[in-house]
Amino acid sequence: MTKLILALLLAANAQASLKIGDPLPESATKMKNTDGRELTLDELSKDKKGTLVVFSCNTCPYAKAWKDRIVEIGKDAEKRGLGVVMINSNDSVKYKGDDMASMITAGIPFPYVVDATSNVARSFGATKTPDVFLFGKDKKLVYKGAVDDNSDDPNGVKEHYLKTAVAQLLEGKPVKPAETKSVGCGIKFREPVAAAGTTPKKK
Amino acid sequence: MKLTVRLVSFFISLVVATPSSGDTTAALSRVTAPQLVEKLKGAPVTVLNFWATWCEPCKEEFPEFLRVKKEFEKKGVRLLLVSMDFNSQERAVRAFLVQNKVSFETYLREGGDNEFIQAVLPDWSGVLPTTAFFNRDGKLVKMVQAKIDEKKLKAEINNILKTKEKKP
Repeated sequence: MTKLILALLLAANAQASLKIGDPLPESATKMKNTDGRELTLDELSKDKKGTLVVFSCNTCPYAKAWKDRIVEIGKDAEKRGLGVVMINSNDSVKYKGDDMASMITAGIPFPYVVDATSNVARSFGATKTPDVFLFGKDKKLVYKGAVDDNSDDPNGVKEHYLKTAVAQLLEGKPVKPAETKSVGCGIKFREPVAAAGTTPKKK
Repeated sequence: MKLTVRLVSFFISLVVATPSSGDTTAALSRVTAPQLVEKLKGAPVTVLNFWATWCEPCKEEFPEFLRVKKEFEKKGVRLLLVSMDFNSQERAVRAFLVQNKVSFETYLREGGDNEFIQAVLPDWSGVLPTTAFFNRDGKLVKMVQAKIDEKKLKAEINNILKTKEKKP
């Protein structure tokens, strides 16, 4: 019985990742921000030139290594008319470093919200932190993947994937590369519970 | 006198050979994507595991890989352990390997994530831990992008070995 439950949990977490051109999912799900407000992706993307969604956390070495660069790109994107949000989908009951107090301490200068059921991550097919998704004005996915090509050393970066993608989006050019890969920590998914207003995406 | 010198030398060698968490003599070398792709061919089954010292589930499953390697070594099964730690963490990787008494060759990834993943395992999301199983031709048979247990490891290896035996 335990094995069956474990298999079901693993299957529930193994959602297919969004494909380029897919619409922004879970846009009506309310997520609590570090300032106490309840925000939705619908609100964050309304009347914006695009929307940048970053799944991240406080505890993963890769998320920490990229944090300053994500903040810099996010702040710049916000100034240039994009909706920007960082989402923490980790189970903070099991991983205390990802609770709201720690998120507030992280000092992210744009919305940093809790995915209370992890269903938002599931609906994106996000598997790790950080995992980046950039949507166009029409809320269709134009870029997903890595921040850049060197998590370890900001001075050693040769390819600024996300920065380039944001610039290309704002210039109305096709985003190239539209998809990149990076290593990250697995999202510590909460047990799947169908909460009100959330519907885990089916394969 | 000669006997005393020999005894002293013997005891010194024992002390030097004893692994400790501070030892940096574990078998670890940097590997690029093309070098790793070459290593995936030739053995009846190659098990490729990506791990990191900061990844708790990776560390939990690590001893199970070592047990399985020992059990399947005679059947020619090859285990490639590739650390995805930052290169600046090499000392921590070596210490972990010594702590776990790893005496065979293991690897530390060299190069950027995107190029590395695209060249070695394009369908891998980049999540750790991840384990992939390859046949003799270096063809991917199965990939598990999550923690894996000993039972499942053995089952995947046996599946590939059986497939090989069935061929005329």
